[in-house]
Amino acid sequence: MSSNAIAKSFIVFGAASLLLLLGAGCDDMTFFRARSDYFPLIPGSRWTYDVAGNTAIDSVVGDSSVAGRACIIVLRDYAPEYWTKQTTAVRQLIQLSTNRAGQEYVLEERYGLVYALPFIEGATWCESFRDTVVLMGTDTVFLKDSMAGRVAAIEDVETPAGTFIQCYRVETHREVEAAEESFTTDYSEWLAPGVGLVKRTTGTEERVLTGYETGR
Amino acid sequence: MLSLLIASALVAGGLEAGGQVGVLFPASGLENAHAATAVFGVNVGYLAGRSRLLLSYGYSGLHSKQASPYRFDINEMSIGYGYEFARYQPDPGSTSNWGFEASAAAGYGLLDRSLGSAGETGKAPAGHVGLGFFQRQDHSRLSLGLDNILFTESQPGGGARTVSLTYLIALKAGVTYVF
Repeated sequence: MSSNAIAKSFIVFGAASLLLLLGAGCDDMTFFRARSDYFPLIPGSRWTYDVAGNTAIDSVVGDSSVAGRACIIVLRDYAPEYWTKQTTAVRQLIQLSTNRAGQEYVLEERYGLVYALPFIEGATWCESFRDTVVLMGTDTVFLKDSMAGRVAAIEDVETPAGTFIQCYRVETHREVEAAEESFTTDYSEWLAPGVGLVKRTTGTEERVLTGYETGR
Repeated sequence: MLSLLIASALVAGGLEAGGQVGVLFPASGLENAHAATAVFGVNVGYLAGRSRLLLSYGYSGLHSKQASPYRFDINEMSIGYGYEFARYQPDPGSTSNWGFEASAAAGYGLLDRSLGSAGETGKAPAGHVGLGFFQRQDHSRLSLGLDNILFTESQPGGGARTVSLTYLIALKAGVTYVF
């Protein structure tokens, strides 16, 4: 038997053994998650949701420059939102204002951290913004806006739009202290690879994806 | 039969051991968030004529394109076969030669993604196809080549199975000692 034939026999045996060894489990999908975009903001994309029997529509309409930064305009239920996305973070323009004597005063206008990227199960992030705003010369408003997020789990999600595998469940807590504009909110979101938000629960309200189109 | 093959091979050929360094370029969408990074490897092999049987270990740590504590470590063991399809020996009496080698390997990667204290681990089988240049002088063998790596993953869901193929390409230089 030639040396080539011997070596080839070795490789056939080795590869066959390896394949048998590996056959048991290759379902971690780690690369799949690592290379997937969980929050695609592609112009032309459109998502429809069922919210307590009503249809809500989100869409990405294009880009612009708002509050001194280049951003992507997302219409959420036809109301514009402004987002920025980088490799390490997704931010949304937070605009908080209050009314005094019939006049609107801006308390906060900045791009706040919504998601820290990339998503890794167990990852946490938080951002806190504090400011003091004087209204009408004498009325001082102390503002504190903090948001904390956590990647709670990797789950498969079933929706009317289909089953989405390898979704990240992100839990968010936001607390705003700003006189009469104060509020606290907690919500969970499921973000699917290549699709984005497929489900969101806030208290008793649930928003579930019923259809989507990805822009080009 | 197998014992006979191994015994025959050990008599007919030679052993080698070496290491490799190079650059790993992510693709298949990985390149959107991951920068190219260094790859390191060690291998032991068995030579028989133009054929080589290799057992290799490789490590690479992908990181984010922007400043971040994110890391994606890939540890991989592979077994492969290389064939020197073109070999030139300038002086018939010398022990030096050079040429080109094609290779194929099957591997298994242990994966670890981390961001600060959070982490995910995984595993995935891989296939390699390589093409490279080599130069042999006495006991040393230098090589430079491209290694095309394809990691495969799959998961059932929604009545269909999702198959994910992730492609990476590595440019590697290696030095091997042939016993």
